[in-house]
Amino acid sequence: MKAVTEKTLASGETLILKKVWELPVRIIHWTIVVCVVVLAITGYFIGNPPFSNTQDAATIFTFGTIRFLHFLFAYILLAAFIFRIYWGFVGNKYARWSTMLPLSGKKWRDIWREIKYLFWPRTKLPVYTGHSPLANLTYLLLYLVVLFGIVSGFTMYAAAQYTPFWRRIAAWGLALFGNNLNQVHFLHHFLLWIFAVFVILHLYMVVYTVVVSYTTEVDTMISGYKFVLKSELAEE
Amino acid sequence: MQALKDADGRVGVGFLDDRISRREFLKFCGRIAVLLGLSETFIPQIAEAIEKTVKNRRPSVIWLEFQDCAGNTESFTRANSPSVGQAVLESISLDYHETLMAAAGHRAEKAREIALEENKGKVIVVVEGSIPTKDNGVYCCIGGKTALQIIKEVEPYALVFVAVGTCAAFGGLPKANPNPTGAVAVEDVVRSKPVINVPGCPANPDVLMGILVHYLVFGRLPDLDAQKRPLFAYGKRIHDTCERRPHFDAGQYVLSFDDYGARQGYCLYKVGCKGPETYNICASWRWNLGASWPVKAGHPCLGCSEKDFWDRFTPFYERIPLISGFGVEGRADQWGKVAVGLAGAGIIGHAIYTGLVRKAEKKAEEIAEQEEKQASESSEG
Repeated sequence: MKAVTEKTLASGETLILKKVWELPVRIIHWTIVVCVVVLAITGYFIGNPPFSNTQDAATIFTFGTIRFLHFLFAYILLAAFIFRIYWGFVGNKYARWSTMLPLSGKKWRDIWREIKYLFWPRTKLPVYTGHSPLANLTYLLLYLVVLFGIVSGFTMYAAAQYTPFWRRIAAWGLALFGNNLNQVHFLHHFLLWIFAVFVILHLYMVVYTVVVSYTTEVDTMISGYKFVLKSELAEE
Repeated sequence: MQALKDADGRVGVGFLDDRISRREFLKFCGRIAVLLGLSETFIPQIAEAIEKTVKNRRPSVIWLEFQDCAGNTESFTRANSPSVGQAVLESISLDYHETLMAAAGHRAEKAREIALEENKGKVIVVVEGSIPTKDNGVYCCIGGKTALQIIKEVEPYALVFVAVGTCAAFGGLPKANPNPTGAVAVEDVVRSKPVINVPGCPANPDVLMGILVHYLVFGRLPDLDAQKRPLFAYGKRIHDTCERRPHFDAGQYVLSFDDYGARQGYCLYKVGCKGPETYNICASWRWNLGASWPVKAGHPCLGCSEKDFWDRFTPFYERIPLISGFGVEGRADQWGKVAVGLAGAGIIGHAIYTGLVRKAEKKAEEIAEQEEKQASESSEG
């Protein structure tokens, strides 16, 4: 718990500290962070090994270890992803699919309002307790990217496993990519850069939101608490 | 031709009128047993099946060549045990083979018709080369008939179609962009009969022999994978059976041809080896009596037995395909770095822009406040 639970703005409005992100959501978030970082680094090495060892091959297993880490964290990411889908049905309203999916015209209008604010910041910044609609949309797209990574990655993984189960997975996966394993490698290669761009924009938006608005704290994904307008809380 | 077994019950005696010694023949049978993953107890059965085949001159095999380079024919006439393989091929009543048959013209076409009529429903049809479909298939005509017509004509008589080589199995080079003849694979045309794909450029000759022997011994075709390739030959990636694999796991790579790593026999991953994406038997079975294969000879795998390899596996000496656009070609990583750079520049630009706007807003607020102040002061005064 934080010492400060209430803040008063210059406008006279009161802010109250409210728990927004439940523990499972925060655990998933940081699991994905660790997975993406490890997968990106090991993935870069797998795609383009920057070195060539010269010791006796019997004594070293550098690339094998790098690939092992990549596969290990791929499994962890898969678990986190599945759990996130589940939590979208049972979590609080800020984590639910019903909130995240932009299925109404109002949500699309809100997204447009937010984009407008980002490029013409003279209008008042819209304030949301959970994710903003634009953030929701971004994370949905990110989940699709993660899904693509899981499908393409496990297709390649399955291609090297020769049990009946993995053969079937490989056959399904390859069929999605025109039965061409090289195409899977090629497309999987872009994930690193999509994530790199996302991380840059994501961190920038966190700092940006803290600077220009009053709702967020940088540590909200650690503590789970956020400052929320008292008037808004009453509405809920 | 002598009896199948001699007085002592030994098989393979006097096989093919002394053209091939018993020792050579049994060695061949042993190799095929290994290829099919059978134990040595199957060798007598294989020998007996082949001998029966030779004696009865059945099953009938016809070999159709369409849009191809006859490379697979070349490959099969140089099979691992040429004398045995060739003898078996001849003996299984290879009734029609444009490159190998002595007959020509109408006689050759007649031979095909007779073979088909006599063996209705039991003909093993080996197809080499892709089938053009554009403009009614006029791009490949034999004896006045298009490849498409010939396939349709043969289909009712066939037991199975064996698509040999990447062109027949997946369309291969004729199908490569822009595919001027509308080439398709055998399985895209044949609807009512089973198709076995034996891709490769060329396909390994022993694999066809393996399929034939499997059929002769067990009376059925071998198990296939999702792309209709026999599992015994295409069950594993080249990467997982490669003799250079320990160097891959150890992180030892050929960085350019003729460097230290190349001389040490390191992994060819970084010079574009497509072994990790290619299913074939090359690494474990090799070529020319097991003498060598491309990677052993120091050249990266091109992935010649994979679908669309000419379009999707190129450039051959790059790890992954290049991306074209804006008149330049670059690696995926270069584009990725550009994207990251743009994102970085974008956020810095946006931050400065937002800062300036807010500064201007603050200034406007201050001016407004001052004006208000002045206004109130003047009204007071």
